[in-house]
Amino acid sequence: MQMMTEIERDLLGIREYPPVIRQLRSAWLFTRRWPAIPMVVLATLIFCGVFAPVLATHDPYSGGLRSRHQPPPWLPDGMIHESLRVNEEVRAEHLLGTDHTGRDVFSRMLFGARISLVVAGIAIVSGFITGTTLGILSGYSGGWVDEVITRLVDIWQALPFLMVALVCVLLFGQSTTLLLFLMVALAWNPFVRVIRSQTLVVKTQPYVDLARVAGCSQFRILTRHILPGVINTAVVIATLSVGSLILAEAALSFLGAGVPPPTPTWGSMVSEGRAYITSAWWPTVLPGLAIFLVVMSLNFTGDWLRDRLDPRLRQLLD
Amino acid sequence: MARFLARRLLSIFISIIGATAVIFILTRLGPDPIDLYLGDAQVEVTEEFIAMMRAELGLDRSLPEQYALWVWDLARFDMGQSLGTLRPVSEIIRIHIGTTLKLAAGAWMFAVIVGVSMGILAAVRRATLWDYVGRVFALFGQAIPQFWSAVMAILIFGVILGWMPTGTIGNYDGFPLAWGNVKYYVLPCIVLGWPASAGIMRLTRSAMLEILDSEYIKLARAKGVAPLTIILKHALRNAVIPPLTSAFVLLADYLNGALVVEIVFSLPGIGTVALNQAVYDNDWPLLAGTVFCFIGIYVTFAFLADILYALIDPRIRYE
Repeated sequence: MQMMTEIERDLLGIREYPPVIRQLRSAWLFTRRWPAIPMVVLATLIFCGVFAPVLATHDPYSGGLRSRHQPPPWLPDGMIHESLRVNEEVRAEHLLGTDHTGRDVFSRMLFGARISLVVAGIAIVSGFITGTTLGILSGYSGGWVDEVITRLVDIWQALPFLMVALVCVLLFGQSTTLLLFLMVALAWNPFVRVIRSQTLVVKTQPYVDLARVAGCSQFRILTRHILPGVINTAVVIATLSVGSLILAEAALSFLGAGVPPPTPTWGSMVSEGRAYITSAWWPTVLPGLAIFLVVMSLNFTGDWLRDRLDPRLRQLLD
Repeated sequence: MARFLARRLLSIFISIIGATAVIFILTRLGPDPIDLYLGDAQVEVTEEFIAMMRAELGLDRSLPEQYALWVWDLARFDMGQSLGTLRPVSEIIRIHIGTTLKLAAGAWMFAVIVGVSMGILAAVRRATLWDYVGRVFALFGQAIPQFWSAVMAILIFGVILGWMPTGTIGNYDGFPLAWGNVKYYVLPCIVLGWPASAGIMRLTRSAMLEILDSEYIKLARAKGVAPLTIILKHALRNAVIPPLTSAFVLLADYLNGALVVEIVFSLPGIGTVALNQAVYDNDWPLLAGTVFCFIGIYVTFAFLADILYALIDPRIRYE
């Protein structure tokens, strides 16, 4: 191939670019191949969550009426509602302003990122394990096991999740444990159906029969032969559902079913701030914007991962 | 068709039984129901009184018996008495369910009309501005937290621009669909319908793209059928099946959203009753009643979607 003439190169459409252009081109292709902006957003989120105590400029719990509703320093003076008592000295200290009890919005958002990360992380890991296990069991065994599991998924879907969460809050009281239970209960459902249908396909493959003929135990077939065939799908579903789990956690916090106050979460910040939205909008608008950006980035990454790992899923999940 | 309907009805019946069982089990895992009823009563309560209450509420029977009684009462729409207002739960729900149904219906219409038409437009005018606008619309819809978009809608269209009334549903009078009655529901319906319409739009778009590429569309084009007829008559009828099935899946999320949207917009629907009256007052029978309402709406809608699906696609009936 190295012995090609100029004319042959031209005919084949291969062009030599100068090194700078080649680097730029490969950088462009790299961003096309990787969802760069969403990845940056997610990396920032994880960074903020992990280093929240270091990055925070103020204590997220302490405020004071003197610093109540201070607008962010970068906000033009013309946009500040006249009913607010602005204290320029205090105002300059708070990057994203303060909320109705004078707490620093920026620091609260950092610690809120932490809650979102931990809760969504725990939920998705447990959902991944239970959902995939149930899906494989259901698809592989068939019969009454299959029937019971599919019915369970149906029933679960008919339950209005937020209402059930309210019932639980009324019965057991608001607590972090309850929130985790609710999120775990929510996370497994999307896996089962898709993994089940995937298992039905994988189990008819000749290598599964061969493994059985070779005398493999049921457990070995399930873990060594079926599981690798469905794990890609499970990863894709996991990525695609983290976004909705973060939304669910935020909605629970908004309704007062999340981590109890005064712990900052993005959902509860929106909920606490919305009464003052006409004059001080930043404690409400900014956390919501953060949720929005993070979920959008997750969905982007999920779509990209799906196209990468399992293009057939496009029809199932789109 | 009859067999298909019978099978769907059976599975819906199982869903209802299962869902009510889950709620029942939850209530029994929690604190003693009698404590929920008495709440933090300030007066001295005697043992005899508690025993009497137990007998009255049927709490002295065995658990399966209690469950059966409870379901039987539910089937007759007898959901007991609200502890906060001392009125029958079914009456409170009857007053408030209209608002929720109007909200759901409006959002549903918005989702289907906007979702399907944007999906068609994005597929037919692929890789043009229309396509990008549609895809951004879908992307935003699936990522936006509804409680936040509701607050933002109030801030932008209610407070800053002042285009829409918020925080009230006005005095209902005159023709039901008159602007004076409808305008209070416009913002809530759009906020509630947006995520669903995003899903519908994406599905319609990909189904439409696939079908526009098929042989029979090429044949129709070759034989000179007008482009609009091809899109609306040949392609759309097949492309609309996936969005319809997904309507079933979207419903659960959709009803969750209704709760949040009602609360933010202060619409006097079931969701607002559940949070503002039932949860804050520890009004257990009222909360249970509203939960069943939501389950009922979900199941009904799912059943309707199934029938619609079977009507459009005959293959489903014979599976």
